[in-house]
Amino acid sequence: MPHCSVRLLVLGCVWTLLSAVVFTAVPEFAGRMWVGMGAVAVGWAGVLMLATRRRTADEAADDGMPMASLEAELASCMDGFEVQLQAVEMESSQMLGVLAEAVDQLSEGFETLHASVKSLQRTAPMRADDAGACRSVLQDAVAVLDQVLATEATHGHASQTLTVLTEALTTRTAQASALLGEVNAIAKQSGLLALNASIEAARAGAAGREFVLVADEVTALSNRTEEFSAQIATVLGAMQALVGDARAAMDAVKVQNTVGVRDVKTQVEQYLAVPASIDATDSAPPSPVLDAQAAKMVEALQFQDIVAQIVGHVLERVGGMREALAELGGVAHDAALARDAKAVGAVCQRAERIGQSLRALAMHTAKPPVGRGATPGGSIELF
Amino acid sequence: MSKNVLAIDDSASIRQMVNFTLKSAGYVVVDAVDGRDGLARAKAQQFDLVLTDQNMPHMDGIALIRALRELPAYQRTPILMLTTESSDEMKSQGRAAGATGWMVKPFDPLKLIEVVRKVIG
Repeated sequence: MPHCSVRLLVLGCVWTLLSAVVFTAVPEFAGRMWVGMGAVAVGWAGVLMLATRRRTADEAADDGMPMASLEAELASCMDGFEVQLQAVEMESSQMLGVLAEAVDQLSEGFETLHASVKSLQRTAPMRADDAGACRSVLQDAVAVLDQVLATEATHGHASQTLTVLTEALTTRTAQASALLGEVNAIAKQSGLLALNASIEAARAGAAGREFVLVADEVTALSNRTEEFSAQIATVLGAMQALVGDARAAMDAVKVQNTVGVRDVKTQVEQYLAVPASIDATDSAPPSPVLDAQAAKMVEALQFQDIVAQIVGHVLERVGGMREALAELGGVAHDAALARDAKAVGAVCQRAERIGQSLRALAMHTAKPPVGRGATPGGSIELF
Repeated sequence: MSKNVLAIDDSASIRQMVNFTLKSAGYVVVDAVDGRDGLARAKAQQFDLVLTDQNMPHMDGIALIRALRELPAYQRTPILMLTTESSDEMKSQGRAAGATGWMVKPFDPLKLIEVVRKVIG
């Protein structure tokens, strides 16, 4: 502050004048010029020391500005994380809903087909010439359908596993949110302590005991921040693994079901191509019924694909967050160790870059992988 | 003679489902993995119908329609969109680009066959 320096200058001048008056006017001090000059020098040294202390304290107070800016950047990052995590939760729920619908449709389709072919087998014609061939075809068809139903059982199991996995994902997300809140609190505390440390360092001068204590505390906080950063990385890694497992489970089921649908259709069509079996059987499933069932399954398999797209989108979000969090851990660490304005400024720039990458992630993932228009799936419009 | 259909979608399973559905109805189906691949295949061979997704890497469906409509061989060829996009805004864009129709996923295979028959016989 300029007015403080002027005050100190005036004080120095007054001290000099006073010394001159004393050493010239007072008879007891007359002739002791060297002592007088010494007194003036000591006075100016005192003034100089005071001025230095005040300047250091002012600089330390100025350091508070970048710290405040850092805190604002960190708070902005946390908001970004929160938005992303909420989106992860929402998309996971969407995934579950779509999957449940697909499983219902597939189950219904397979059960109807199975019942139809069983019924065919019971009422198949027994005329000597065609019966053997017809039976053989039907038996093959039933074997294929049994395989499909076994796949369906796997599907049901995969669906249950997915439900468990997604619930776990939601729990993990909540954990990540809590941890992020903790990091935010630590970052604030670190910022305040680092600021205090620099002020205390300036005030302590040579003694510096308090500074040492505060610095120790800052180091402990820094370690804690690193620990939290590692924990968050673990949580997000687990989230990614869970979603990856879900996708792998769906892909496996999808391939099995597709092959199953094809085989069923081929086998039953072979049966329908045997004239005797059609002529003699009233309860044979007509071709349109079988086509409708196959169509239902094809539709269900598309739902699985939609789910896979949503999961891919979730993975993209989680990957982006993981990168940003790793960077944030480094920022919190550096912030806790920052001792001067330059170091704090560098940390601020890093925090700002995290904010930018989060905003870019939000923009990149803003478009949903699956359209959310008003038109229901399956609608057709010719222009 | 069988009609040729070019099916473009970045999702392997959707390509598989379209293939399965249209082949069973007697069409010859050629797959492409995205708009760019679809355009290259369309230039190499004349198709009776193009069936395309909207959201794909490299080139989206609407950009593909625009590119195809610039080719003399595809100025009158029916092009159907098969996509999860269902907003009116997106449909208007598709229509302006030259799309013949818009189908929203997940598609009903029987309805798909019906529409394809209506468009190309």
